[in-house]
Amino acid sequence: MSNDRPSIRLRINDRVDQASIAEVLHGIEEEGVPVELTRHAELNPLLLAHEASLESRLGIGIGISLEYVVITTEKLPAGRPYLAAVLNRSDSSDRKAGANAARLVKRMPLSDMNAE
Amino acid sequence: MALIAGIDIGNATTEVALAELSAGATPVFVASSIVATTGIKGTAQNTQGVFQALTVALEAAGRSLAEIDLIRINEAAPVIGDVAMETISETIITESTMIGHNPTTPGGLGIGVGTTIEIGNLGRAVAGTPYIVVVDRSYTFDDVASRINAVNGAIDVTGAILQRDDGVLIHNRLARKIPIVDEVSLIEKVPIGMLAAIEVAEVGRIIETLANPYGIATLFDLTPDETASVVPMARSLVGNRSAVVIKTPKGDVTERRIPAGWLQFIGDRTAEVDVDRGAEEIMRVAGNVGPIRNVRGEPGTNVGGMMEKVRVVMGRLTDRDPAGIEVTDLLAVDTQVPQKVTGGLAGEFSLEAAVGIAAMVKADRLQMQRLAHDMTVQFGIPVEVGGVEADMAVRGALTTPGSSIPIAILDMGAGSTDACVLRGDGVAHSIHLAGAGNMVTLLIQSELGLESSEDAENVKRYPLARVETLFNIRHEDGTVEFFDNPLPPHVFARTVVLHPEGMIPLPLRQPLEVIRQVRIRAKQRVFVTNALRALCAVSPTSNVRDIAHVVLVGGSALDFEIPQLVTKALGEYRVVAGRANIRGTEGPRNAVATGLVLAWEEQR
Repeated sequence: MSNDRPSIRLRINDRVDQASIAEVLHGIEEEGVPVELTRHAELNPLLLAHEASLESRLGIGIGISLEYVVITTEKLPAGRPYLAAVLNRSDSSDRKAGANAARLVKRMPLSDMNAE
Repeated sequence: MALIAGIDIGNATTEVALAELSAGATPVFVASSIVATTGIKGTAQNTQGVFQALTVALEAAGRSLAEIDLIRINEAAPVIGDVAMETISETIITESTMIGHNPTTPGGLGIGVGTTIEIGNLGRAVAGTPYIVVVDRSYTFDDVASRINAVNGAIDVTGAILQRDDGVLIHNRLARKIPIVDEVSLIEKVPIGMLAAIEVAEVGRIIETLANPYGIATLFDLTPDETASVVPMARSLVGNRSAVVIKTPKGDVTERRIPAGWLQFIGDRTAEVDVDRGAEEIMRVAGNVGPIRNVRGEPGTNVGGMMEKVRVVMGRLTDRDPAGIEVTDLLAVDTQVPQKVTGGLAGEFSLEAAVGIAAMVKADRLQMQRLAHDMTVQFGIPVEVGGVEADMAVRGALTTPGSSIPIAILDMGAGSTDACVLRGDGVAHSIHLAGAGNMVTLLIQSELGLESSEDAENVKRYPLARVETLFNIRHEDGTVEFFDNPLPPHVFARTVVLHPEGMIPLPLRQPLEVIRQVRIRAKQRVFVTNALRALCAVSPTSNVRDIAHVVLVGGSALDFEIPQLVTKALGEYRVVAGRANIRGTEGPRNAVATGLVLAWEEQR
């Protein structure tokens, strides 16, 4: 895939398995926004998200590691991400996390990831 | 020299004007104060607020309670108002024949026609017949996609109706693309084995075929008679991004008028008017009976229930028997209310006609005397009831720089709009009309379909903005404001109310401009209408033009746009109208309290 394509960047830690991030990806897909996934040795989800956002041409990055999903934008410092939630709390909370990342791109109202 | 306190106990606030009076000199105002009224206006609970307001004013002036020679309180405007609303039309879908809603992310594109079938029964489908699959939430999108792909080439699937929000996910996994409508909450009510048509429009477009009666006729091969019967259905689908129409033997969409009943106005003459005929006709009839002594609604109808509700509320507030409450003015306003469609499958809304009514009743005049007596005993200071509230307000309003006699004041409160005119010959004439701030809140709440009246109150009081990015908002006038810190996620991309304590996101999908127009129109329909009604009634010639100056006072005169709306409307009659500035310092506040002090000076 070309690096120039506008997309959300998703950086995940090497140890996170593909199945556990499925619903996050589905959330992004249902909203119709492209996403590109890469794996990294970095453990800190804040750093993963921050670097992903810098790499994303849409300015939106997701970091997944240590059972957290962190969503941030290129304009925020690494230590202060925009959204964060516990990964795999439920299918619907994961789906909402993905949808929210996409909605940040589309500038649409977000849903509350921590409400059930 | 005497120290006098004028105190105005209002529905919402208690205001004090403290002045020193010496013989032959003009009064010197030394302090003012304003606190929230405690208890309902005219009851013993008010004393607490009065004491508090006095304390604040005395402290500011460096004086003590013992130094006060006389307290003058207002004779309350003897009216209180209430509001009610009733829808007079209703849309009903029978046999679940259509779905018309705007899921944020439907799948696919175009039109599909086929017989509805549950996805689990796809194995029993007959080749050569087109089908539309119906999918409840027990199926995952993977499963749905593989089931449809499995029959590809054998069975013709032309569309899908889903309960979950999976439209795009399924669409992306299909070998042959079909239009998909998702987020249909009551999927179990979709009739199975019926001919159905589904349409999904492109992003940014609205459906064209199912919103057109001839379009539906073409898809379903309808006769001219049948085509005529689908007109209401097509009409109710206009403006949607996706829709489903199902052809059932008896299915229909009907718009029903709810018989609202009549209103009877009793004045010098008695006249009845059918509420169905709308606000304009109601107000015309109301204007024809002379001074209104009572208004009754037809028993057993919506409007009868509405008037009954008003009487019960008023009875409770004034501690009287509801049956004896006489409604002395009524303001009717036509409105459109979004209502859930009866029989709808996806929580569809339809705009229904409604009538909003503000009513006003006469209150008990003796209450203030009793209150004055109680306070005299408690404070050990003489307390007397000053003149009529409106007259006091006129005297206070005349301290506004640039005003002169003849003058009219328009007191725009929460429950009623009061007007008083002081003519060149010194004769004052006043009137109380139903409909004010509370009516505006009710119109905003019902027209926007807001669940909480607190949200409606906020929309009324403060300007709107849209959060555009993490760091900026766009105000309703188009200007942009930037922030140093990111705005919180719960306001992102939403329309917010700019409350002094922070942004409040509104649970609305309408564009900002629509919300703004609802707000402005609600204010115009209540305050501009009432300003004209009131000034007509108090003008010596019954013509608004013959009043030179109109000064706006009261809580609603503090609103950020109501004074401008009224000023603009009255400008068309060449009337100078504007927000009061009592004593050149107090703005539209403290008119009555100031008037109470000035009136005492004059009567000595």
